[in-house]
Amino acid sequence: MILIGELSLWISLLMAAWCAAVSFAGGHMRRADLIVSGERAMYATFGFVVLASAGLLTALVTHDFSLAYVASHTSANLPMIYTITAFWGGQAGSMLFWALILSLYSAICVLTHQKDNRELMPYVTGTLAVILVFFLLTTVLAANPFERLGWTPVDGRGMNPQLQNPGMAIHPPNLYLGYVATSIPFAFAIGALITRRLDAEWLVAVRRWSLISWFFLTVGITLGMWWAYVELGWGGFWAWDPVENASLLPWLTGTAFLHSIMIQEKRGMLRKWNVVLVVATFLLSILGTFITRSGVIESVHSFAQSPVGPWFSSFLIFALVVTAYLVATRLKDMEARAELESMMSREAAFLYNNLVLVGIAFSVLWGTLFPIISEAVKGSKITVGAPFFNAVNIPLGLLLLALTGIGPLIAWRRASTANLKRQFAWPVFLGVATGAILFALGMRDGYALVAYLLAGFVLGTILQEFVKGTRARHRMYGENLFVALYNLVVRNRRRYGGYVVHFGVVILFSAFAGQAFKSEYDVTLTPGETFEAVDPYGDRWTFVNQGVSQFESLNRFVTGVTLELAREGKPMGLLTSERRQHVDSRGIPTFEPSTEVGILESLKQDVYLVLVGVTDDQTVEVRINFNPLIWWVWYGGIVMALGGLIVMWPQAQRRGTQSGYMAPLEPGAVDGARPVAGASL
Amino acid sequence: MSDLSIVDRRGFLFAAAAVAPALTAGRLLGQDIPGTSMEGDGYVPVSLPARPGAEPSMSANERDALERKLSCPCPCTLDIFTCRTSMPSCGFSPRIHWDVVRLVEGGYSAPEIMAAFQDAYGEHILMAPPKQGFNLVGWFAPFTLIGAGAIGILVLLRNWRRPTGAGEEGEHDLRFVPDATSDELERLEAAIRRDEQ
Amino acid sequence: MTLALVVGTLLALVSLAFVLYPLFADPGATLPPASRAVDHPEEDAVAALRETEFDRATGKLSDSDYAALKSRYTDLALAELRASDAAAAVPVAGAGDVAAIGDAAEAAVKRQMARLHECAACGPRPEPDALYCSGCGRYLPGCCADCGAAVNESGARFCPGCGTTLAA
Repeated sequence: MILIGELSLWISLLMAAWCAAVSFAGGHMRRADLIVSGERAMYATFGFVVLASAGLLTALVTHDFSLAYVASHTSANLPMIYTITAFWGGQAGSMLFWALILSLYSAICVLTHQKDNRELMPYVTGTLAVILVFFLLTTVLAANPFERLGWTPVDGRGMNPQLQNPGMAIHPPNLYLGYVATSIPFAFAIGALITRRLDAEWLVAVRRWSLISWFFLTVGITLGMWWAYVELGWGGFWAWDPVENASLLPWLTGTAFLHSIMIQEKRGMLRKWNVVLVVATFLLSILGTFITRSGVIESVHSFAQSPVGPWFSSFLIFALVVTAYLVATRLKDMEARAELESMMSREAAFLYNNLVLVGIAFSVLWGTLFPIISEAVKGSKITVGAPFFNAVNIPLGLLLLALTGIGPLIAWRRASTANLKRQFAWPVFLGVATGAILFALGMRDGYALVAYLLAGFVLGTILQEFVKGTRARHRMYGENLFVALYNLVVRNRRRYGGYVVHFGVVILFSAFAGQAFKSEYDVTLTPGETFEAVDPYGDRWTFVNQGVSQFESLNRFVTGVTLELAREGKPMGLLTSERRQHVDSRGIPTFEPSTEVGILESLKQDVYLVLVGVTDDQTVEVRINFNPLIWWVWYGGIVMALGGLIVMWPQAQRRGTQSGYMAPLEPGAVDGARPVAGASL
Repeated sequence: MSDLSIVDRRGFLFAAAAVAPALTAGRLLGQDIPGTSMEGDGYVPVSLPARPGAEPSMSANERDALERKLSCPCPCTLDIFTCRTSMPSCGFSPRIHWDVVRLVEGGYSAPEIMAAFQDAYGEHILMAPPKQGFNLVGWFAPFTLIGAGAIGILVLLRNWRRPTGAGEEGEHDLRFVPDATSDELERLEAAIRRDEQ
Repeated sequence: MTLALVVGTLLALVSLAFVLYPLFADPGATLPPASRAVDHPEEDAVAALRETEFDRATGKLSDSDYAALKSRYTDLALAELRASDAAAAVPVAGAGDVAAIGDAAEAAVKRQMARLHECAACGPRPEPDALYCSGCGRYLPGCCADCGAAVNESGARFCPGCGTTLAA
């Protein structure tokens, strides 16, 4: 099976190359036979990548340590679930995993677009095949998971203990699913550029795939933040690490695209801009992978210095040049009849939303790359850390939050002053009231106050939209309020699902603002000693050191400390933090010691305990954090993902039912005629 | 903070025995050992003679705040305080911490300590580049670009406005009667409602 | 080892046959000519009307804005409505033949489109079969129903192309 897998990897590369060649040739020569052959080659590529993956999984599960990949990422005593997740835990495996997802997406794409976008599809298939060729070629030549050691070690190196976490098992696949899904809109953009069919047709397909990508990136990033918080022990969830930034970049441009596409759908404007966003999203997801894998930028996420770096940079430059050429030669085809009734319109609000999203993306990219730029210009290394990103992105983030509330209140096409007043009254009142109450309660942090004020405003907007929409349906169609609310969302999933996403954003920003009030204590405690601290809500906590315990567990040595907690004299239970030294099956230590944090969770705040060190006389050094509202970060992420699901949920035959206003062509022809009418719309 | 060995004994032995002693345990997605930046010794001792009759120049909290402005040279991308309290096996942050402690006890002020570290390590020891010289480009490029973008959009919007002003359209009155039979209007009405029910 | 190689080779051959089959089954097959790119930047008038109604009901549009948008899109929607009515009125040959329905419908739509006239001054007219522009009263150039030749003479009674008597 392993050998079959290895062979399959090579065959899949050849199939993808064939697919790319005949698809482009078929599209260019308008030869149906070549195009069909290309489609079949795509299915075959997918089949062989599946076989290759099955081969690698077999090697992992059967502990075939003669494979370098298996030996360096698993060990005999590793639990089965993590043995399987080791598939994407290392460089070579994750490359294959990437190819697997891409070929799966590509096959689905070819399969589902048999009827529409026929002019584009050969080029779409061809572009996807080119990307696949790149990934498979890199896998085969620079990071082959089937590479053999030449000898068989007794046991493997095992898995980094911090990756042995359920969050880590599903976080990377989600991100990959998101990253890879950006390839399909990109392929459509290339197809549309080549054929110069930059009309509305390709956008439908692109929107769906962009949503899929957005959804998985959202879930992946949220999981990553959660994992960093519970597992890494530094008390936060986002360190502006280059790799974290890399996952945020395509998310930002993808979000911008999902907004600006609405303008093109409704008004036919912004064609060039949408193509640019689609291309940028894809290139940024490749750039993210490049950053992770090349070692160009120092990051804890980095894989080793490995030969894939040059491959990625070449591909990135190649893709950039090709798209730049295509866009430049097709600018005329993208000219749109741009008209705007009014400067005060939803369209204008969307433009500013796009500006801020892309601005944030730029500042994140800029901060990530600035050390390289600086080194090139000045010759000296600098660090661009959290203070830079916070200073730049907090104001931009607040601006974005404000636009989240303003946009939906403005009508499409034109909005008059009178009704702007009417629309803004309640949300503004709610926002100002929130700010005033918090100020009266003693909140003095400027950014946090603005954030909560805006959060109240946006919440007001969302509520008002739901209330007014429900009432309108109630009035217009006589539905009762519950039916009206249900129909409101179901009949217009995009708009109201979008509002649910906005609600998630409000939760998220409220949680971010809460971090302004986090407090941290670095404490040394002898056994039985008590430490007192006041949390951000003004409650007094006591921590009593219950002593240190050291013991050996199945595959690790553990040093733990336990504190007894009380809030305002009321016992809150025990909190334990451990340091673990993992060992392999022969008792030899593997990896660095890891920290297991103790967290007392609540919706108000977390008490977060980290064991820093123990001295001979049982004195411990611990760090205690009060992290206000931190769980709302994950809740915000969950709500955003749910909103995304509402938006993505297929709307049943919207066009079909609507075209009913066209009288049937002729009694007997109704059923046959519908698709024609639908297709021409 | 009474003892130098903030790593427990067993952990310390293991750490010493490990392949790359300074490698942070933490946040490796891949497990391959990153680069060479961790090996050898990137650590530079920073010490200045204690000022005569010196008293600690700041409280422990102020010192922690100072450590948050120094970047750990290990690939954690964290500051010294956060790194040393979450990754005790780091080869840099505990040692740099003790350098800071001695400087504080030696009576040096926060800016003096920052300057001493900058001399020893270069600018990259600071969490964020100081706002001077070329770094200004780094700090202000995002804002400049967004400002330019905002102006660009305004200009664009102005160009897009339809030459036929809004005034003409505003004159339509509510009793607009389309030129159509009642049957057509009925069907149109039905069509508008169809999707909704 | 050998087994794996044999299986691998077999798989490769099978898939090769699968992929190359179209080239032999239907060599040189070409695609139908490209259809005209569809573009509808503005939404359907009806959808726009629906949204206008909804925006007004939720208080986003002032009365005058509402009236302006409503009249504009009602005109457009009525034009669409009439065009589709007219298309439906054309008899379709071979309606019973299921396979032909799609083509027949398309042909009907095409024929209908051909019957829509364009006024030199006011642009395309929504009324099919109109002889005079409903906007300015100009004579609308037409075409012969049988041969498709253009008829530009006001009051022409015979087709200049094939000589068929022209209706009215």
